[in-house]
Amino acid sequence: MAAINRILIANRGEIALRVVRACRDLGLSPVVVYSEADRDSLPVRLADAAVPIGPPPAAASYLDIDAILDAARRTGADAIHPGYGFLAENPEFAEAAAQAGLVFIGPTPEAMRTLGDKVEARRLMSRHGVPIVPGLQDRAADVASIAEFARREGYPILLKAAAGGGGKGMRAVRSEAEIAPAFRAARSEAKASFGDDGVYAEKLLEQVRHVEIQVIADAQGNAVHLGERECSLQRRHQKLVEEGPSSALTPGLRARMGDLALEVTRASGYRNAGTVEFLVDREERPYFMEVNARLQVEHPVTEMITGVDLVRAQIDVARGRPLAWRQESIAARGWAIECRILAEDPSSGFRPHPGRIAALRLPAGPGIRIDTALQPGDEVSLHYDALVAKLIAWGADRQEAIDRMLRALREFVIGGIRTTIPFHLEVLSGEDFRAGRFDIGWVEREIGRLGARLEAGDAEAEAAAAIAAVAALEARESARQAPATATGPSPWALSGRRALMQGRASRPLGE
Amino acid sequence: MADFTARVGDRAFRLAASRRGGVRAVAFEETGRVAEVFGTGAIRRVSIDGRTFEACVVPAGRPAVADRGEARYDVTIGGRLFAVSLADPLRTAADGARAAGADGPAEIRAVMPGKIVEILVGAGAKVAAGQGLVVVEAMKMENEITAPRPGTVGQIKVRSGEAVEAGALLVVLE
Repeated sequence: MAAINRILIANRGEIALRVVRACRDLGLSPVVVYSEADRDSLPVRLADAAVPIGPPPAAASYLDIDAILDAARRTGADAIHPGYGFLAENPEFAEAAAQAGLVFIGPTPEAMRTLGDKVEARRLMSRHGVPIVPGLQDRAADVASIAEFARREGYPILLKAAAGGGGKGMRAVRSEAEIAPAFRAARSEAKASFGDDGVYAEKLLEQVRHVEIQVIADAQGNAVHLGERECSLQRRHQKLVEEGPSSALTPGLRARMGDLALEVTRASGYRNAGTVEFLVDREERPYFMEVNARLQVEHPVTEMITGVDLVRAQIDVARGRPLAWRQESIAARGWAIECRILAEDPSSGFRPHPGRIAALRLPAGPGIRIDTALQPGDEVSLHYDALVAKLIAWGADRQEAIDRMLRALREFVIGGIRTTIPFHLEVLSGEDFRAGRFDIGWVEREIGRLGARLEAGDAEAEAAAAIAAVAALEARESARQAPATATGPSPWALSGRRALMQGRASRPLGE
Repeated sequence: MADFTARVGDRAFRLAASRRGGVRAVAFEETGRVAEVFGTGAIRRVSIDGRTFEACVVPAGRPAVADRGEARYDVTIGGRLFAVSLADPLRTAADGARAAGADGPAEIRAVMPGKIVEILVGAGAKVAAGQGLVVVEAMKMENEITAPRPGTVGQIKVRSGEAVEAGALLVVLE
């Protein structure tokens, strides 16, 4: 049993806050590292200690292994939680942490290596009888080998980073002419995101659903799955809405995919929490895609329907405790949906929209959970991921979860940046979503129509918006015309500055 | 009393703002209806004929009051975004007279801060509408900036690897 008393959180934003909270629930001491951009962030404020590790670019801060391990040593941490992204699936980081005498809260470096190489993982799963998407056996050496694969399997195909994850370094290709530029873009994005420009090709399955199974395994060899999450609503391979359970699965298919996920866990010697991603076609055939060897962004969906605290479970497994459940004791209750609120403008092609948070009101009420580190005054910066909040709604059934989500989306106020909230409102109030009629291509196909609906507003609300803007401008103008006493530099500061200019110390007022 | 023309989507409203005690009143000039605005700060309550709207109003883009006498605001109501532009009719009338024509060189500018990953064209190259000019990385995603219309690439103002601010001139299209 490894004793854990103080956990260093090697991440930022909402996930750092999520782990801080788990530490508090367990009576453990959370410490965080932070870049200059995050020095006044909510996780930094709520942790017991916070250590600056560098300037805003991730490469100089959240990806700096030495700086993070040094912070752990200086603060007396005995474990590291990596969150997701950054170093979460980096086996060198897990190894370096172990060598520094720290418990790494996540899978073993060996399992990370096997699964982190998507090409190797596909080969391993295929050997264990897990169905995989048809694709290249090896990394693509050149454009010609991709072209040959595509001629054999037919278009479209998908180029994927061998070291990939999170939708980075991925490009769909629909004709031979597109291969070269897509190969270039995928390689450079893969290099930038993972430090490895290896890319392979697989058949791009269309009209399929993305369904993933949450698993957790302990050091004693026990493993359970916690059911599925449906993540088909994606844009450019970035998930936008997740839910659990999936309306696409029959009980039989659900049981089969749970078994396949556990087989994947065993075959890779997996430990701790992980996610096995599958595509499911219209004939209800599942295909293994990859394992995300980390806690996932959308883990709250599973927490809401199973009642399991996944971060707590991760920490317990890491300190050597056996799993608290058997497979039979895991039951899903009700339905949960998560909307990823991004600092992107859905009315102009999801363009990143950084800025300062000028106003903030979080939704609340029955069935609502919100995971966010946003505070008024925070600067949403271009240095990091655009995810600013995860809004999760739980209901006794899917309809109730949808209705609660719509209520919460309407209550949610984030001023100062444009967000995907209007997009989520359109999607969740639409007939297709209510009926469960969608697949992984739905967002791209419907985006034009959704965009038009985002534009066409109700006349009364437009009038109200115009009035609110006029009132704001008029308030501004009248403040500007008000006597200058309230604004401008204070007389104290001016007298001090004058004193400095004249080379003497300031004197008391009344001089 | 201040007069404004407010544009929201395809609609335009002539509005006159005034103040009665702590409440701001805004009248629709066409109909004479009066709406009231309560509260301070960014999130306010608008009441029109007894119907309530809660509106979050934040200046959009760069300075809210640009030199052309126009102010732009992002207003969110019930989770929906309304981009509002306000103009003082007296000032914008003079402005319209010197509006530039659309045939001159097109300046392709960065729409957000980021890093130039690659320049896809050379000076003098003929490009089609929609053809990629520059690849910019922002928020860890690569975005291709494309030509808005066919033309010939004039000056290229950035280099690969360079960091650019929003609004920075990237390429001039002749």
